[in-house]
Amino acid sequence: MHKNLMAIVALATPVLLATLSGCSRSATAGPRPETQVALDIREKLTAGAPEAAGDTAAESTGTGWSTLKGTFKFAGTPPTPGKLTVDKDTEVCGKGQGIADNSLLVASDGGIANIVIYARAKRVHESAQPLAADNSEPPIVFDQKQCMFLTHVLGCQVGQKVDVKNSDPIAHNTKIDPSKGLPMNQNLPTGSSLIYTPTSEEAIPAPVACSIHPWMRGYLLPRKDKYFAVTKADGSFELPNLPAGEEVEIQVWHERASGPSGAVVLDNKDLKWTNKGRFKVKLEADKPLSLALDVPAAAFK
Amino acid sequence: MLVAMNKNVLSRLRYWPCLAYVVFLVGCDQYDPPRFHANMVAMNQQQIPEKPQQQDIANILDAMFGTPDEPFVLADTGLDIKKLEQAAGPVRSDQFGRETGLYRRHCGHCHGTTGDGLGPTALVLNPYPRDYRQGKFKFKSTDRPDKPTDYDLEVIVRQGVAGTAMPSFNLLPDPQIKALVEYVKYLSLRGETEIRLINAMADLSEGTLDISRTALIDEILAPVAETWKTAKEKIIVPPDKPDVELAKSVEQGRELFYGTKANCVKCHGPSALGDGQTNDYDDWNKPLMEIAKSVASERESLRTNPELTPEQRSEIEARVATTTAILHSDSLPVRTITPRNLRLGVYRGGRAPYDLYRRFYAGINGVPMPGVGPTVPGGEGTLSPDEIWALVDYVQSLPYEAISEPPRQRPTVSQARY
Repeated sequence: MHKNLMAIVALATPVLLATLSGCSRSATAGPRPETQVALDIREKLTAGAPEAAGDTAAESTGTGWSTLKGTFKFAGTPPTPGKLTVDKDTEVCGKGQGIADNSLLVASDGGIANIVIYARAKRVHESAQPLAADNSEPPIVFDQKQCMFLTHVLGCQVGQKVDVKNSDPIAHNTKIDPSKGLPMNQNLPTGSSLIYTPTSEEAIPAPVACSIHPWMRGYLLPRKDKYFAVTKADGSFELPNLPAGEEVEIQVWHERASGPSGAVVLDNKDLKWTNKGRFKVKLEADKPLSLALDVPAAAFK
Repeated sequence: MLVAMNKNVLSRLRYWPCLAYVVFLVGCDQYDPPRFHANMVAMNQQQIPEKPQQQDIANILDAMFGTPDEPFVLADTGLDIKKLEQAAGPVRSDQFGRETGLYRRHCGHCHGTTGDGLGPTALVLNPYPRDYRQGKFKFKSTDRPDKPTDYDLEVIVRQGVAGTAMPSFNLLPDPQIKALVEYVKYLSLRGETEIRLINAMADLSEGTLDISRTALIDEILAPVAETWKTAKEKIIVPPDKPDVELAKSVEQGRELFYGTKANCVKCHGPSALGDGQTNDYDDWNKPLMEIAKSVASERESLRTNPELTPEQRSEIEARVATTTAILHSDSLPVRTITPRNLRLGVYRGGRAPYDLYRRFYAGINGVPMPGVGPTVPGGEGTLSPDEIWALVDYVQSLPYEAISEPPRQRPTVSQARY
């Protein structure tokens, strides 16, 4: 009896130990690098010889300019916006009425506000040129009142001064977290303001938050050129002076979109809409193109 | 009696070969050298699930940085490969007593081989060990968005971080500490480069990253390396403390603490116990919390939305399953922030007055704590230098206020006589 028990223990212990310790733990370590390929890349990166310039940059082929405009409409019944959890400074924040969740704003006719639509163009019209570092553009006001950012999504150019204001009788602190450019997290006492200048182009809008009032949410998209627009309350947008006669890639973003990193994904075969929320258009010079875009409920989360 | 015992021992020994055999059978297949883990959370977030693209990123990173056993750096990084070789690799010492594998010996069990803060002990620590890959460091002498200087990291390694599990390594010889600092910079630079590669890959409309110095070094690696190289130019030098009576300065600091200008009270609480704001997240936890939230909302829509087609349904189900698996193995449970309890007199980033000055001036990188100094060099901050010094005096006085001290035991015996 005793012997049997010992035999079981002796046999079971290593099995148990092996199971507990396991050999390789993580199943999601990602693919193993391929040694030879990596060595080839390394050789290419260490070789000091500069590559022939301009061979990769695609040349623009078209001439002339045109406008892309359109409207985003919600297809189906839009969800009723809930209320945000306001647990602080309630007498100021929302004036005691609570604050509605404005992350997805749909007008009565279905127009969707705060969709960001921006272009990647190879050719840039003189009215949309990147700003110089020492530009004298007047600052854009980015205000907050009743613990809400008055501009929910702000598009601006790199180097454009943004006047971050606090019009509340309480203090805020504004935290901007771009993935490439200079971040900011600054205390903003009552009635004060400060200038924030985006330093780098972002691929998607950067979140703007307030650490004191965590429900506050805004977005800031700095782009080099002026080819960006945020849809108005009726869902309309306009991108003037886009290069015509060549393909221009357009990207569409919304904070609640269910695509990767906020990509608005439409099942639109005509525009060959990709699952990255992008499509390409080829405009004809001086012939504005107008799009009517229906966004299904499934495109949002 | 003796014979019986011998027999017993013998019969016990009989099972040992058997046991060894089982271990042999079960054993791990081969020695697998440790490797850097991919940042699967970032990959998933940017939806780079396709194997070829993940493979490309793994290859580029291997080309740029080598492996945990054989580190490599490009000249553009400005890192010293000799120091890295001493810190990397398995724990060993040669015939002259020269030790290598320092990172794995001293740091890896918490900070992880990849520097992702996911070492085996990480789960049970509070706060979690730092994940270097975002390139964000909290306690340093430079301005908020800037990298720490070598000296800042050295101070952390030497002194540890008060109030956390990070111990002091002051007994290590100087060259070993320098080697570890270099290795932390290496892991951080590697991690940040990886995130930038993932973002650049996601930003492409099609295809994969171009293998060229322009695309990979000038656009991705060099800007990050530059922030490390220029860190020592960004040190905050506190101006001289004004000659004010301490009690007055403390009083002024107190007014600022509770006023809307500095607004410390909102997070650190009306009694400075760190209980004012406990439902926000730091920059490491916030993305994880948002992923978890979006998974929850997708689960909810699976349950409640009848309009979903079977294809949409299975697509969402697959996405939820992958994301959950990745969160499970590649991240720790999400935690909210804890504003510091200022009555304890424990300061993670150093307790010297100039340490506190720098905390107020720049805020703390990666967490909600904002700065009150100017946003641009030479500009005007929310608080003047004199006001910041007053705040330093007040915060330093907090642990010595009567309310901060533990309650005195009552002299019960003498009371009983009455």
